[in-house]
Amino acid sequence: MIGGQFGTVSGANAGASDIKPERQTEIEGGFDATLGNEFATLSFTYYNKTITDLLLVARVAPSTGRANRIFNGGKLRNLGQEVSLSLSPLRRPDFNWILRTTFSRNRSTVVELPVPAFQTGGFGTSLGSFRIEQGKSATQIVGNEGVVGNSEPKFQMALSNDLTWRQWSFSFLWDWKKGGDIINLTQLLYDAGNNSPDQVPAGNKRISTWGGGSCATCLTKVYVQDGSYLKLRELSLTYELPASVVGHLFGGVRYARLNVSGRNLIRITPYKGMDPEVSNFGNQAIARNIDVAPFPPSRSFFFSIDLGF
Amino acid sequence: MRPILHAVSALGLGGALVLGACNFEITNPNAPTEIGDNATPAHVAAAMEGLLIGARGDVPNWILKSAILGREGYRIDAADPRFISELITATKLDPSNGAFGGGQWQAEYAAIRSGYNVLNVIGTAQISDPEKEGVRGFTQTIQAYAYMLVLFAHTEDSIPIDVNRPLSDPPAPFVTNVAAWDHVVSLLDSAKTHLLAAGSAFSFTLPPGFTGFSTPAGFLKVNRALLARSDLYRASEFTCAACYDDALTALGESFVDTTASLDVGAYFDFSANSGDVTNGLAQQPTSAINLVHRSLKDSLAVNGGSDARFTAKVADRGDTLRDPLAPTGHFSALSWIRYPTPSSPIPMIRNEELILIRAEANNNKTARDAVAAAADINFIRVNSGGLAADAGLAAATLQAVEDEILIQRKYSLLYEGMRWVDMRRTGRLAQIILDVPATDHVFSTMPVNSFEVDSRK
Repeated sequence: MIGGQFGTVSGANAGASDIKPERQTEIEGGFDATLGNEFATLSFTYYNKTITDLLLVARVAPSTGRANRIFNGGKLRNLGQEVSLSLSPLRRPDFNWILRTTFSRNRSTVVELPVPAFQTGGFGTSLGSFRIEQGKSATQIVGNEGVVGNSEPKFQMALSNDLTWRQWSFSFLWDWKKGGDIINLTQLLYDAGNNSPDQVPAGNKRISTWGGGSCATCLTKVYVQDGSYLKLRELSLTYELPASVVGHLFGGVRYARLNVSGRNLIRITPYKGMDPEVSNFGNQAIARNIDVAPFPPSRSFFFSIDLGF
Repeated sequence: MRPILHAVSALGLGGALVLGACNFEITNPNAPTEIGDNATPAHVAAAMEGLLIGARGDVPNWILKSAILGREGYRIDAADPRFISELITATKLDPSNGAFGGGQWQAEYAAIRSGYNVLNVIGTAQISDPEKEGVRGFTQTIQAYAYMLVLFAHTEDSIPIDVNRPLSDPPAPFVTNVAAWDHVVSLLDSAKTHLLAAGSAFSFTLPPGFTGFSTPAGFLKVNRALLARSDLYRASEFTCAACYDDALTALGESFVDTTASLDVGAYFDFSANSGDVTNGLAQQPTSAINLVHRSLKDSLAVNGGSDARFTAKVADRGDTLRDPLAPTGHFSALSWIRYPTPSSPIPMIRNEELILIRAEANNNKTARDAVAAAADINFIRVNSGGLAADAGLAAATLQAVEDEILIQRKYSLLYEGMRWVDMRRTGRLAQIILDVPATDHVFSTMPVNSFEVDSRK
């Protein structure tokens, strides 16, 4: 609308009339092993997933009047391993203990790209931007000085534990992510506003090292930070009241459980922002891990009573 | 085999995949279709309004950014330090970001593309031949305006011109700055020819910002005003002695008029209506973050400390806002009120600028007419600035008169996107004050958008 008149503008995205689906081929190999009467179960998977005829949204020369072009082309490869191990060291009528651990790692490579390398996501090079480039990882982050990081983690691990003893059961879940860089613009804004807790001298040093615009000495890397973490994701303790007590207390109730649990209880991370599990722009394929003052996950505690009728 | 955590395939688009497979024709029910062959009058009209919407898109951003580059002002924004870090203290402008160094490119070329989308099919439209000529003349004029915006921001590397080509072709080659401006002039002249053959009325309605210029004959005056601006730019930036005379010729066919309001002109409308956009430069003076450079107030002392133009466009903020990183260098207590409301229009070109173009052309042309120049300058001094006439101007040197014209342009065209350009084209960038000499820079041009550069590798 302009001055009350309707108008049509040509779109920023140029489509393609011959667009077709992507093709994905995956070679997966692995094994499952069970040891000693289900004492331990180990499973291992290796995959090599190749996507061809990628549906690419590539930047085009803006002088064409368009911003993006959608077309088929290019090839992306994901290589990864997944391992899971579960142990049940104790299995007795009144005592049951199960431990599970998983490990995963993935590496992506843009094998072929029929267009020149292009940037996507982020706020320009000086603040870190993702760059799709042949032969490089699909999640590399580039800054003024070149490649400054990669949002893909080196690996991720989880450890969960379930313990049941008579009426008691106890469980927890740890998550460990190693690597995976985050563009910490929250800290940039605090530093730029003279508001960081460590402003003097660390914050001032960071902002002056960053320096802004594109220059030979400006370093975007200052605000591209390691997003590794170890988190106690969940902890839970449950007590089931003995049948005799239940029958005594509430008529018609089959069982009653008391439960105390907490989430996000412990977080160990070198990351300087509120929380390393951040993506201001949602669950995106590439432009994740950008931290611009989001609302962080909260720590929560629950106390519950379950009654079964 | 139990899959655990398959990493997200980095480039997949699940939704698009499904649609592609089923071969559905998707139409957007919320937007009319773009103009194509055999366009109806309504389609043509919508495309014309769309062209203006496209040309308008980057104007507020250009005014804000060129104001910072030319130190008409600052933006001290707690949520984005880059209005200082990228536009003032960086050693080089960042070409990768359209909001800063890489700007004045995408939006303008999108508008130019919208224009070609019309020109390429207008021959088959269901309107009369004179009406088609009107569409051509209007479209080419707006395209020329969009090219001018790109050229105001880009000098050294210049720009591509021959952009009416399929996406599958290689991008248009860059031409020299001189050739690019020649193209602007030839577009405006071609538009004139079309407008002269366009009959008495356009087949579409122009928005209120073009009141008085909404017929082919009226709009031709806007076209000629833009030509005068182009000629003045070419005359001062390049060696083109005849360009000052060309500017005067163009002004003769424009709406320049010392008996009309200085605000007469063509404007881009903004509003808070549904579907429209507001003027992003409007702000509350007391909470403003788009600020006026204090030198604008300091230099008023030359003329006795007051100027009606300054008073009308600048307000006291109430307190001083400071850049946290350079609190004693980048600070201001003055807010822009040039665009007081979200529906304030932004001039495309207006009478006051035309009078000052005439003064400059008369002063600098080969057969200098200092008397005519002085008359126009004093007209502006008295009627716009509320100042006394300067009786000595008619006898002053060319250089002294040019200095005076630039002072008048500074206050007459405050926050209209001209200051940085004026300082550059007249070779005065070195006069721009560096508030913090150790860190501040004044740039002469914006770099070519990095997407443009990358796509040619």
